[in-house]
Amino acid sequence: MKIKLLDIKGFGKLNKVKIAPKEGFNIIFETNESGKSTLQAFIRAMLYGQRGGRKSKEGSLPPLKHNKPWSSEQYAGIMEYTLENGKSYRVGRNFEKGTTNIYDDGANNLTNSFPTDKERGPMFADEHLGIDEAAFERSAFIGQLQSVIDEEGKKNLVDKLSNLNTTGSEDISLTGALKVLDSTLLERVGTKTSTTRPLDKINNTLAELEREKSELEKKNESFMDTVLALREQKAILGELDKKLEQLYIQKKAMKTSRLLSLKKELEALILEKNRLEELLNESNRNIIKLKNFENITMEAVSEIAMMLREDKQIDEMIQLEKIRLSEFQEKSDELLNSLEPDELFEKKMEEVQTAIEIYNEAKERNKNRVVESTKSNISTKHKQNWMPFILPAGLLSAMLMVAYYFYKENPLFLAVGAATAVITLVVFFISIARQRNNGIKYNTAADELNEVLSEAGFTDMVSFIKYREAQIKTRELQKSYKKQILSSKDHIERLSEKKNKFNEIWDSFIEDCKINYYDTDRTKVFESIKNDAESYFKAIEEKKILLSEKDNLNEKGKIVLREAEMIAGDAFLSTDDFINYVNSLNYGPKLNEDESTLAKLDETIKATENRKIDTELKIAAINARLEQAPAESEISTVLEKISYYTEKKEELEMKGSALILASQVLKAAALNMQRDYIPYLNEKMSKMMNILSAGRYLKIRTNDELNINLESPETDELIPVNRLSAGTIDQVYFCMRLAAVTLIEKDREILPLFLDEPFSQYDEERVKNAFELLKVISTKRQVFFFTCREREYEIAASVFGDSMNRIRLS
Amino acid sequence: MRTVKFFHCADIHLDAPFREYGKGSYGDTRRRDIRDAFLNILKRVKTEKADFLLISGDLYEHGSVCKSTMEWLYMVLSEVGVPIVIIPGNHDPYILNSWYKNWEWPLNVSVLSPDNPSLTLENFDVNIYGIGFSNFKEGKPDLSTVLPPKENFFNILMFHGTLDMDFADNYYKPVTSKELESLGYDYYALGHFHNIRDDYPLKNAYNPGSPEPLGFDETGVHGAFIVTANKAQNTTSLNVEKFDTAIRVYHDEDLNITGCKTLEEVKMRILGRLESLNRDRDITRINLKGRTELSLEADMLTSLFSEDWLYLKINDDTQKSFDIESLEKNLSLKGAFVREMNARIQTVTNALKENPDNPELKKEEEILNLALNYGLEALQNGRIEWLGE
Repeated sequence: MKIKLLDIKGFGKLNKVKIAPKEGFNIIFETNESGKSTLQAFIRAMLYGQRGGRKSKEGSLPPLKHNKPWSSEQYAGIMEYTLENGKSYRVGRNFEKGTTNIYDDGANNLTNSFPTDKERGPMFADEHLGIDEAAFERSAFIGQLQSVIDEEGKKNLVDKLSNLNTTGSEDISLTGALKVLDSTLLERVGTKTSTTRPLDKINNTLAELEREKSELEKKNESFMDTVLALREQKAILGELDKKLEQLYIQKKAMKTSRLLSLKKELEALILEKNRLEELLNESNRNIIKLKNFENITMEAVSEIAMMLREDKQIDEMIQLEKIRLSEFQEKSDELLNSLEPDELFEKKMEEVQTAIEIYNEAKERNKNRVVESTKSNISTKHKQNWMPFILPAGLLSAMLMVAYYFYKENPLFLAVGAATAVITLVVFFISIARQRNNGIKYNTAADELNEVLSEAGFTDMVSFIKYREAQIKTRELQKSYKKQILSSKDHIERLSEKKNKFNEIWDSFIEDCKINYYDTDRTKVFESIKNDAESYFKAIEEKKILLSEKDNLNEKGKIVLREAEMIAGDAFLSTDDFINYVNSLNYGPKLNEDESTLAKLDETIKATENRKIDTELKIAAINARLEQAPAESEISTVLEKISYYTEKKEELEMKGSALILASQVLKAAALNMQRDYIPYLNEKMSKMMNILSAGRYLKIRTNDELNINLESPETDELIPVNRLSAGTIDQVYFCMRLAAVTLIEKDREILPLFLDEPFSQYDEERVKNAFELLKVISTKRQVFFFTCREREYEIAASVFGDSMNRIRLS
Repeated sequence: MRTVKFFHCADIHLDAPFREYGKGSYGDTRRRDIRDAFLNILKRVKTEKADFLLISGDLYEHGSVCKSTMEWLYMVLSEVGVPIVIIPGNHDPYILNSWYKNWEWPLNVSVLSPDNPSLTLENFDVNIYGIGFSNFKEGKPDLSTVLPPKENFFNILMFHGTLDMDFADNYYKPVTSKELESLGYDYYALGHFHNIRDDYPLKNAYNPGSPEPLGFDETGVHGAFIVTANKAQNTTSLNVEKFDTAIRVYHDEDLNITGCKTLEEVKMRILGRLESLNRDRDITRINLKGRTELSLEADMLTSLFSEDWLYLKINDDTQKSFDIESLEKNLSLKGAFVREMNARIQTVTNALKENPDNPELKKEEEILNLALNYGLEALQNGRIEWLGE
């Protein structure tokens, strides 16, 4: 694109200025405030129009108002330009009226062939240049460079370079944008490692709500289990009620049946009682008949019976005793007759006794003498005792004689036996002779004794002794008889007394019987009484038994009634009352009482009722538990909160995902840019830098970390841009801007270049080099160089010579 | 048979939690609305002297229904006085600890379950077979086990599930009209989808929807059917009339605010839209759309307008007014970023044209648009304007 004409009717401070730039290098060398920036604004406004509206946030006026002419009535202008394709266009804008007209070189109005912006009018420049206003301004306009001496300025310039290098725009920072995205993600959303960011808070809230939900669900589940349990217990209760109902019916039937049975029992008892009554009556009649014996006891009868037996025995005993007495009397009398009178006997006895005593004294004296002679001659004693020899010798002799009788062949037996016999006889006679000689000495006393005995009528002593013994014995016997007679008499007397006593008892007994017995035979009388008394006692006993049985029956009747009252649950005044009650009952089904008794049934009913009570208690407990069921909509509220926070979480996560995605896409886009544009940019920059640095730096390179380095031919060293001097950085920046323009316009229109004091920080040599570069550039591109500096003008003039076109604004 | 008149409703969802989270006791109010809408049906059953009532599933929410609601339900159902036949749905399936199994239901209520799937109302010569849910998700039902219709009876098939919808993963008893038709029933009492529908290819199939709308995707009429039927000598006459029961109406409206230069202009546009709505009845969501430079605080706008409303939410779905077309031509990183983002957005947009209801794609598109805005803000402004909490 080459601007051919700029006809400013009125724009800012420029009024009626008409400029015809050359295709190459144009220099606008004017003092400050002469309208250099206004001219740049005019060119932009002619191409892209001006935004109107209100003041910006910072208070600055919108371009349409800002650029209003200071002194001209017209706020308009005309611009003519030619494109690379040779086509020329003329644009006329009336900013006041907001009208724009575009004509081609054939004077055809093309205005309506372009899209129109409400404020800016037809957007022809976008189409002709291929870029929008912003891109045009960013690339075609290179203002006063920022490089200053201090480090801050240097850093800014490095950043711009970096931005240019990474984003294609010095104002757009990739690292800054990434940092913003990251910090927003961390602060506004949260990351995997964060704990206090919004997403973390929501997650914590959600976890708490999920816990609450889980608890409520458990509570609900537990509640449902309780409901299930309640249902089961109610079913059990229903079954129990049914069972109880059946049992009650069964019980009622059984009760009826039992009452019927009791009634029958009672009726049987009544019959039995009636029979007993009859027997009792008969018994009473018998008793009355035998009433006389009422004072008699069976003991008395027994005693009398015993007494009668004893009486009989006493009679016999008396009889026997009397016989004995008679016998004793007879014997005693007989003995008494056989005895000498007592005086005679005693006299005889005295005389004989005296004679015996005398004899005994004489005998004693003689005996003493013998003892003395014995002491002096013991052998004599032996001689006197031949009897131990005589008897065995005699016996032996006899045995030998017998032996000879059997063994006659042996005469020895006879000989020895005969000899032994002779010897024995000799010894015997000798012995007798010796004894006779010893008795002669006490014969005198004996004679005296014999005389007395004889006088007393005794032949010898033996007869005396016999007499004496007989007399003594008889006398003792007689004495004994006398004693026995006395005893017998006494016995008879005692027996008689007892008999008398018996008579008294008998009489009393008979009196008790209140009956007159004329028979004297007591046994017969007694037998009659005994029989009657026994009949009486029997009747009494029978009555007692009957009465007892009657009592039993009454008791049984009472028991039956009591049971009936219990079963019926009613009180019966009488048996008839009960029977009437039973008769009034509607009899239920007949039951087999063997199988289940009423008691058993009662037990079953009791057990069933207990189970029912247990079940009712359980149901009450379950109902109490059910009262603690989750409150209304509690779980729904929690679910709603979960839903709300989940939505918030999803929203945040979505924003987080968007931030991450933006970051990723930015990095990817930057890398693409690096891949697609940077080599081209580096090549262009290197060429320019070579000229600018007068061959000191051959190449500019960007590494993978997007850092810019310069290659020095002297050292083959790559020097990072931030290590360069501020002036060199300025040069690199300038190169990059120029390269960026070529990049932007690649395959598009070649843009004019508007340079506004770009070399203010350069020394003269650098300025000259820069103009040398511009000289190269301006061969293909229209360049507008704005300066107020004499130095730049003169150096430009020296470099460009006649090819330089000076534009004047006044 | 004589002419029978019965009511058909479904998807009551007693004690349902609501996705929209309103201020104060909003959820409780809405649950009361559900009860009131259901009561509208029960009252009508009585006033119209209907013979019986059919409830085709999802009577309550198994996960959140509470005892007091069940007690209330017992009371109102027993007061209706006519037979009520229910099938369990996917929200109230006939599971072990379900209220259907464990709760004491009024004597006039019959729950058709796999154990007891059919019921004959001898008084009306009506035979009913129910296919409900025994779990929260169930695949294609085995229709071969369905008992054949009874001769000389008016035969009703109650079915909770998906009719004529070819979803890839359908866990809600998918069947086709053809399959149901082959069963030969006289009336198909459907349930599951919350919007009323009476235009199935199967002519005698009806889906009453939920008596009360339960979300922003449930606009339109919500109610139940009154059915008058007569069957004589193989000729069945059917008169199905729908009636409205809803207490509330959902409004989910987009409002383009492009061109609004000030917040006041935005407020005026919102106010203009709200004027046509009923604040006592309508549950409203206004989604601000378009491109704007304005910083819109949606929460602030919501609180500004929602004071007298049961539920009013204003969402900011606007995009920053970047000149995307122009930026796309930009040769700097900004242009490269926009081009890359636009390429991705375009891919998703194309996919959405193929599959417009795919929520994943919608979400992806939203993320991409957000990422575009965030990236441009970061590049251009060096900061990201963050609205909301």
